[in-house]
Amino acid sequence: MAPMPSLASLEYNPDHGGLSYRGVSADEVERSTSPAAIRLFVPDVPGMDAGAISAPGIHRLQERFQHLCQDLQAQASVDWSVDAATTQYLLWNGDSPRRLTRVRRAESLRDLEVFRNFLAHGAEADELLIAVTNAGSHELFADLVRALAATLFAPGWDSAVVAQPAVVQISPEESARARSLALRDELLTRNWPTSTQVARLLGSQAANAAQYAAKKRTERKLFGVWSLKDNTYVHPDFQFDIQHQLHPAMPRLLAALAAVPGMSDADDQGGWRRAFWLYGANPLLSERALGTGESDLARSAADVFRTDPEVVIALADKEAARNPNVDW
Amino acid sequence: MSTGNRLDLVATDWMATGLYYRVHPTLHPVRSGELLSPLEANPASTARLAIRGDHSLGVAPRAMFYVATSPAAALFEALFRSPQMYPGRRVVVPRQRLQGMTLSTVRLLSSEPYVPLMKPDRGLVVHDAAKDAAWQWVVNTPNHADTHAAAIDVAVQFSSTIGYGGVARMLPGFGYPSVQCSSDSVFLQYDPPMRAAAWAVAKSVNLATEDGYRAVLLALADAGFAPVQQPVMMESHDFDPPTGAI
Repeated sequence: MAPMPSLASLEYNPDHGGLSYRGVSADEVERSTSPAAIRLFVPDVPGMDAGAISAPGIHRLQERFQHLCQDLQAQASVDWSVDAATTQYLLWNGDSPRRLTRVRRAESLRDLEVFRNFLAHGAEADELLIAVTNAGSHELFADLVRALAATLFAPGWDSAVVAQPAVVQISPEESARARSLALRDELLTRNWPTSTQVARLLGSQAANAAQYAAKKRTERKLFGVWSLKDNTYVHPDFQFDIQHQLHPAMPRLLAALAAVPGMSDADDQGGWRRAFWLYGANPLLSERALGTGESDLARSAADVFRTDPEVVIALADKEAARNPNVDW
Repeated sequence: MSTGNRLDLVATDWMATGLYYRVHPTLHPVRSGELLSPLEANPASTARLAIRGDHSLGVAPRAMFYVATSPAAALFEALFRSPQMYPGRRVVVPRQRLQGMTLSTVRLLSSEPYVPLMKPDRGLVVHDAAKDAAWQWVVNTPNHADTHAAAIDVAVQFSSTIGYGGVARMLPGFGYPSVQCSSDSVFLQYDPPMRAAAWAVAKSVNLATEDGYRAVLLALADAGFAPVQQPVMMESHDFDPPTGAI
């Protein structure tokens, strides 16, 4: 496989109140971010370490961004809008932006492959890639660009950047933590129902929907994750059937997960460790591993649970009973 | 009961001398309070191709010594065997699994034999397409218990072959490709006949420490993965609710 190029990236996220520069691999480009964020990429020095960005990479980003602003003013007809579940990748090639692909998260793997192949084989030194996450409309995108410009060229930005060494190294711990937050945000874009919505879906007449859902969670009949941005719990969709009723095996699954080290209710109050476990692809859940088919494609517990909850519960039991002394 | 000859030719290749990596407990699992030597084989292993013994076939249990050609391959083989993966080669690092474990760099001082199961070297010992496909499954399946019968079969096949000095040969070990790090290999040496004197310890890092965690992150990144921190509670309440929230 051809080595993926190193890219310098600039990410502006108004929710988090600022922009960040970092080096990314092409593999990371499709990492989704919070709603209403834009990310810019230019090819950087090949072979950079993870998280590293070169000073020329930073300056090229700034230079190209100025061109983007000019282009945006000149070409208001470009459709920057994307719907809420879509990331749009655009290539700005010096003349005008053209759309590479729009990716509806977790659905258009073929589109992602096209995009990644482009990065691997097509990116030229002066190209600027723009990933637009949930911009929603041309106006919102323009607002984002203005806000980014205000941050990018605020008094002191120049000295702040120039004062940095030639390579700005993001620690591996910071990178891993940033990916963790991004994964959380990515999962939250699935629009899982809030406590109020869950109470309605389950036909509750309770006056306090939040307490109704909290009671269900305490009873381990319902699984929720804490959404910082919404300031409430939301409830992953894998546990509901098509009639929006809770899967009857949920209490056993939650009991099994509670026995996994680090995933007890006390250790995982926000539910995110369990959510990462449930939504990550696991090779032990491939059709071939389960003896149900020929595919080696790893599947997530969330994907398998509705049709085969016993397999997922057994996997959680196995994880809980894991003996590290027999694995090495 | 196992079946038939898994190999078309009883033969071995030689491991290259140099650095390898392995993951093992920090403390000895049996001798309380004692540090485990990075060169100690594991008699309790149930990992891929472990020989748990089969009295009916005259195969005694053996201890297992796994090493890999990269730190990431060693981590995946012994610690993150069924990792939670997300698109973009993101892999969630379950930090509690690092507790009590050590990543050691060990040096092979003199070549040791192994049965090659990586391609194209597998062609040395397997010519039949059906057998080749069976081995492909053995080196890929995440259910390691399902691979033990194959190891016993090969042990029997070796022991029925006369080697130098007119004594029965003993299966020395296997080499196979890492499932997650396809350009790396994993080698398994059985003890016996493993020669501990062929190995030396270069360095070790306790994975439960900050240095160990960083070593894991760097190893995964070097192998082209994007490690994801497992959510940590009370970290600016990014992942967990404030007190009293419902």
